[in-house]
Amino acid sequence: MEKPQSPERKPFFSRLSEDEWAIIVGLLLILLVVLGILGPIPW
Amino acid sequence: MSSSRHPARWTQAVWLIASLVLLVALAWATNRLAAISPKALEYPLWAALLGLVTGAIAAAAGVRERLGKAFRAELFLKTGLVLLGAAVNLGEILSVGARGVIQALALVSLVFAFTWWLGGRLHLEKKLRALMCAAVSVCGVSAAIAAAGAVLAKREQLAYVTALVIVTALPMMVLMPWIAAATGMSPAWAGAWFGGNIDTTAAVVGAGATYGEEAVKVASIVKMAQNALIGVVAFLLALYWVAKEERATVGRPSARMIWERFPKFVLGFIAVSVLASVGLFTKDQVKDVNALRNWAFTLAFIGIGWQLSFGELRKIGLRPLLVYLSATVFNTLLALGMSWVLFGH
Repeated sequence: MEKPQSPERKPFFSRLSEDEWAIIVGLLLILLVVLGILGPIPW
Repeated sequence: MSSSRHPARWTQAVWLIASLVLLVALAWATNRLAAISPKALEYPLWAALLGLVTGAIAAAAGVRERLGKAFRAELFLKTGLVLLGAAVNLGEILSVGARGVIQALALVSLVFAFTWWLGGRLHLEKKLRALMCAAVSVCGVSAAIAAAGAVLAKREQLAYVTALVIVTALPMMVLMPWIAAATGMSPAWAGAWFGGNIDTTAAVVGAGATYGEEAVKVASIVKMAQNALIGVVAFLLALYWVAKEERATVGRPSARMIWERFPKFVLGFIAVSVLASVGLFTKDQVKDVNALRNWAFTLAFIGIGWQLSFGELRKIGLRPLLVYLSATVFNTLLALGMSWVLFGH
């Protein structure tokens, strides 16, 4: 008897859209700045 | 079986690391070049040029796709726009955004109609016309992708329009701030003009950044107001295709489609702006976030230059090029008038 097929798992980075990643990365960077972990940043 | 899969994974990982190293090196080089060059050569131009040159070299060596894995222009651009929220007061979004929506509604509908009409006169294929209309009237590459999904366009048609968008946006990113400065346009007027006219959001931000902080804010907000219409345009296109063209092949359009196409990073930008407006960030923190934003935009501009494919451009032919350039001129003049009425006083 054939095993029931499980739905194919997407690669980790494809599970969220580009917009969602942009929000997560943006907020994470801001959090690191607010916590004083990141900075001063040269430009 | 797994032993044959693992080497492929390792090879992919090595290419990704090489791609990241190259991207960071180019971003660093951009920063240094912008620091030592005259004011007119701002970082967006350097980044795009470096991306263009290295992308062409990689293409000639046959490794552009593999070496470009980390060159995610859209992702870096959207991250930069989320970070921009820290420098923009919510009041500014409401004030500029309201006028931006009026400008966007007028520009999108009139430019779309003009491009559709001209494409018809010059006998362009209907799907290519739809892609061009969306790209030139809404927001360049991402609008073309949404339109391609709505009308089930061919992959080559999307590649043509993508190449056209980038090849027209790069000179405009340089020329428009120059014209605005030469004619003494105010930062708000110039920003609204860039946002209403330049197709791709990256080049809008590039032109705004070249003109100054106030211009980049207005240009970005106006462009985001226009970006927000992408879902509506894709929905209407799909509706038209279902009703008139290919009843069987295009899926049934729905309100859900509008939400799916909505550029959700705009919500991130607004959320960060709300946090900034309630005084969550100190002056130094805003300075650091602004620096991060500039780095994110630099990575995006390098990616934009990298993506430009001269091979695709050669395949386009004269008529589509003529339609696209005419639509761009029409958009430029209309956006100039609209931005003067709404932002010029």
